[in-house]
Amino acid sequence: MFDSNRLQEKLQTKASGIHPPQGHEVRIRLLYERQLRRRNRGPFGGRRRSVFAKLSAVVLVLAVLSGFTGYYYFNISDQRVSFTYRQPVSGWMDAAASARIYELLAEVEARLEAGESAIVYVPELAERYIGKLALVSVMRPQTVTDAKQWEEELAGAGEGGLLAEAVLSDAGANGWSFDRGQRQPPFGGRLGERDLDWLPELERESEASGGGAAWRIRPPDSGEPESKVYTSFYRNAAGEEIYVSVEIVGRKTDNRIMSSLAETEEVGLHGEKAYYLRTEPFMFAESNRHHQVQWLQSTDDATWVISVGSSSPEVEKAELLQMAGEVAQARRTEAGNGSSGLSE
Amino acid sequence: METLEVAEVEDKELNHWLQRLREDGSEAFHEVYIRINPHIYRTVYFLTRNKNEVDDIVSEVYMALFQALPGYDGGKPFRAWLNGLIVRQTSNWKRRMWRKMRLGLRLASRWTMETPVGEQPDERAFRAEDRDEMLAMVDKLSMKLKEVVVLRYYQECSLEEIASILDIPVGTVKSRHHAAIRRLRGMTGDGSRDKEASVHVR
Repeated sequence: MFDSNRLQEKLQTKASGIHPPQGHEVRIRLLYERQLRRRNRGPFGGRRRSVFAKLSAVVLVLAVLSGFTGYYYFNISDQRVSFTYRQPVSGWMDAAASARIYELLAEVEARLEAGESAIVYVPELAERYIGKLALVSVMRPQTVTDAKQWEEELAGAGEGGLLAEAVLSDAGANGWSFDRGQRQPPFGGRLGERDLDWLPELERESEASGGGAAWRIRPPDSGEPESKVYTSFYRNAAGEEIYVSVEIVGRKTDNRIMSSLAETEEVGLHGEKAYYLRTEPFMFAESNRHHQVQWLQSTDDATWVISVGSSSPEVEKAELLQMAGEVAQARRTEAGNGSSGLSE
Repeated sequence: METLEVAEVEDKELNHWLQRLREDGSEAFHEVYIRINPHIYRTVYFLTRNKNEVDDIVSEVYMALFQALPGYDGGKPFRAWLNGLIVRQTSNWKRRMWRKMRLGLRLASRWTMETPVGEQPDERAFRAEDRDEMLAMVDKLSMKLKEVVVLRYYQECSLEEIASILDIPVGTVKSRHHAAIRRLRGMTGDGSRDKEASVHVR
């Protein structure tokens, strides 16, 4: 039975539990400061104002025409972890812009020491994604090139021991040879909630420099969300790179990824429901493309996010699926042996 | 009466900070934000079917607010003025989405437009909390009907206030209100008359 009083109560109760995400105030403040700067420049801001006004008009037209206000979503999730790939209806960015951003990020990365990561304010993203984040995470990973040492590191990391047994031991037999390992994701890294605090400062710095990029090295104690990531890179017989990355997430995590997904397909991997995702353009790789097979495995304590991918244009989808299949099968065998506690 | 006094004090405080915000800004921003953001965020949440879009629509509302603020007449109720902005921006967003959907049909064949492969966390929470489906039913209403329901039952606006916010005659508000109640009853399978079926203008 419909009861309007009950509806009112329901709405009020529900409302009390609705809160904006972390960093929301910072983002809205940025919108306000932009508006304030525009207003303070006045309608006749001189020569620079004139150029700025034209550029703004172009950006505005682009924003309207390119439809940044509509999105497609693709979501992979379990009860603990959610990955939402989000893409504006008319595409996230073109290949040329993506290549320019890659150059910028590579330049920053080259100035980092091994193990350091940085937050980069990318003006090109700010222009294209009005009102949203223009921050990108860049890292220079500390790599381990000795397979034995990497295997020992993984074994020493507890849960990572499973990965060492499941993946490394199989790799040689299938024509993939170990190249290096790192305790970071394969590309870039993710922005944590606290990273948003850098946004106003970097935006101001960018504007003061005439619209250039601005960046900061992340302090060691800040930044990325609490999760363990192990990425092993391999090379196939032709020398092309393929990675296997495992992220172990122990708390509820919502990952939102702006992406240019060009192809998505659900694939079965020995009983695991996985997804093949092809991204083009892809601003974290020189090839401007990336594809991966990704799936989640849930345990009582954590969710394992497993990705097998490559940015090499020479690595075919079939090869990626084959390697992902082998990883999934090996992991299933290990789980069957009771060494991981993975749920079936 | 007590509620009214509290509301009056809150309005005076808010008007003070809004005035400061119009003049210079930075310090006043936080004070205004904490006073109006729950109102904006939650109203947009209820008006929006796809909860993934709430953040973006809220940003649009704020952009419109910051642009329009210098022209705001401080003598008029801020809440009603703000509600007008919220409803307009949410409706505009929805219209643009439909247009983009039509333009993007080819791409849409590879993607799910509003229903992701997995349910979104917000949506899961939404459903878990409302197992009786009452709020889920409101979510299924058309935008025009939902606007009236949210303003009436969440914002507790009178029908006259709703007419002013939506810039439509009171008679139209009444008919939309009746239609919304009918639809909700239909969804619950309840044919009996609800007390709100007879609408009185406050």
